[in-house]
Amino acid sequence: MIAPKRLSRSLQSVTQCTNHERQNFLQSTRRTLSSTIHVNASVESASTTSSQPPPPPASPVRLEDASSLNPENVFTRREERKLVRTQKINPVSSRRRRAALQSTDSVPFEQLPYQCFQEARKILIADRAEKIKQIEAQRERIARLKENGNMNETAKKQKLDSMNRHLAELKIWADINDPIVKKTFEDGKGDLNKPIYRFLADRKWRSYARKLLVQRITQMNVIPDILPHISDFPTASVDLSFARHDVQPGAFVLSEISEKYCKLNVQVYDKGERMVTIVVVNPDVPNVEKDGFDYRCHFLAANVPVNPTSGSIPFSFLRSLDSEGGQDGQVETPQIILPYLPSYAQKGAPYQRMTVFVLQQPEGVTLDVADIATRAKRESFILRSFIDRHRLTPIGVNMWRTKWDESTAGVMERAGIEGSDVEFKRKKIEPLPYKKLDGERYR
Amino acid sequence: MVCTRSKERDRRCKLKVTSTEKKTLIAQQRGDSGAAAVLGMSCRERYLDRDARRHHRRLQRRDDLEDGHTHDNMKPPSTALLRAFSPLWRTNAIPFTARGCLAQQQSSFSTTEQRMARDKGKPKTDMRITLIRYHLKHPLTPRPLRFSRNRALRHWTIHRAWRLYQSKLRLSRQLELERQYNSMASACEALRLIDSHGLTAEDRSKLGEPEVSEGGKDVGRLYRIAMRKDQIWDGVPIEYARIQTESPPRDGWNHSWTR
Repeated sequence: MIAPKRLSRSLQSVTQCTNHERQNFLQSTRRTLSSTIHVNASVESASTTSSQPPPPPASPVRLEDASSLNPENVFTRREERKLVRTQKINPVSSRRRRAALQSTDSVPFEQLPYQCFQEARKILIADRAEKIKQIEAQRERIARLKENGNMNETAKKQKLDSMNRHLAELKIWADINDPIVKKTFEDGKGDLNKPIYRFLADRKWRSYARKLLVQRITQMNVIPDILPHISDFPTASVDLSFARHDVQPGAFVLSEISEKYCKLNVQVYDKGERMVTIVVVNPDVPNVEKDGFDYRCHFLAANVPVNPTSGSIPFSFLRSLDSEGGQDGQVETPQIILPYLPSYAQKGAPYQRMTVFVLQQPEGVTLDVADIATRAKRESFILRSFIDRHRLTPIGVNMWRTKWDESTAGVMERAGIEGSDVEFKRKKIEPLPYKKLDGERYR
Repeated sequence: MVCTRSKERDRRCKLKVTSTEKKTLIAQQRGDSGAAAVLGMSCRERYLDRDARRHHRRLQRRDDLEDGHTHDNMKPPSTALLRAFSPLWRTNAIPFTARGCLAQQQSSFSTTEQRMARDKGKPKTDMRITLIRYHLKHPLTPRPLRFSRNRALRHWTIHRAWRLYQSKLRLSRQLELERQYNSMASACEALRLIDSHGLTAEDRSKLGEPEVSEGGKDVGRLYRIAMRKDQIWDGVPIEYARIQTESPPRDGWNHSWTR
């Protein structure tokens, strides 16, 4: 009985479903699975995968062994009906899928025989080809513009910038509709050297984590206490951790945990390697004389290379001033200007915010660490001035909070900080004397 | 509804102001649009108790006296005098169908569940959640689809392809319309520069004909005829006819209908 035409066109073997053709098909499939042909299907299968159910027995007149019908395997109407009749169970998923799974263990995603899906793929492939052509045309235009010597320099630069931006957009549009790209990214296997994966990672970060971070930074008044408001800040994600303790932005961290093994994971979403400066600032150092708070710098390091694929910066791996001798005799620039001072808050003082800023150095600029180290001081460290002096760009931020706990005294003593026995107390303010006003107004 | 009496005169004469007028006055002092204020104030006021409302209004009156300068908060300057001298001050009434747009939030912003003291600490039921769960879990509601990874990816692919196809179709239609319009515009422009012999000024000079100024009645005569709009409405388009419908009727609702 010839099956009607409405069955899938992509699997030719399913549409013409005579006994003879089915045997041919089965024999061909059996050849892929195993070399020997088994008479009894119930015997152990010699197929390549042990999970594959044994193929039905080969014979010119098919003896349908009802128990051999597997709900995951049946793909002819006759076998399906027999399965339902004898074993009282329905076949597992669509007939097309069951038929497709006969030939291979697993069909690659792009070849899944679903008609609508394959038509959609055709459309997307055609669109991608168009975008590739547009990318090439744009590249040629940019090359021609660069060679053009008749144009005003600023106008030329502006035009080149916008053309490059359009080129980057085209690159994203070419790959954004690809389900394999989406799958790879979702599995965490995306190569961040490619623009599409950087784009997807950036979009994911901005959808939640960045919003949370900006909320915390704003609520804790890190902006504008330490830095003024900057549009589109932060642009790089900074994950903070202390030796396996991951810190949520703004969370309270015990002094003994924040004492050692501070590590940043900086993820930049634009291409290229750049040098960054890392600053840890405490804006809440109590100052009794002025009845206010001062800034203190807990860590300052420069010339740290960061690119989209590598952003893990453990503080202990950075080079300090006195570390000499790079590998293979090359002198490596020192990085740490002020070594890490653990965060501490004395008893009675309110909680103190510890903020980490990641600042991008200008293109190709290496800061002279030794020179800065002669001038840099921890107390009254103003980050705004530091940024202006060295022309840095803030790209990332994170923060945690400290308060007095049982381990703070120990941390302070180990770090050689005086004042672990100091307790702050609130100054009692005498209320103004109650002055009774004339009664006329309050009649 | 315009009220031209000022607040000072009100207090001094102790004139009785109706509640809706009061609300309009207060709102107009605040600089809100009248209808929005009427609706907004009625919602907001409902949630303030009587003392708070009185205190609220006292603050407003004090603001009026001091021309809107307060130490606690910056308020927009009072519009009381503006109201008094400007007869064109009109409240922007919004249709009743849009009153939902100005509704104030009535549930708490926090996601922590609230517990009722009168129920001995049982959580407060949110009717919205109850209704949603009822309708989702009703036996007659079709069950939600749950896709496996590959199924979901295929669905996403098909969706992206469909959206892409639709946008390309729309773009092509738009471009076709633009092309047609530009073609018509350039045809009209060419017609404008042509004289009664079908020659442009350039052609005339090439053929050695005497020059005709562009403003002459010959040049562009057919263009001007084509641009005339006086007989456009002679054959009114049939689309302007009213389609027969059951409702709404042309004559509206007859309130005085009797059998």
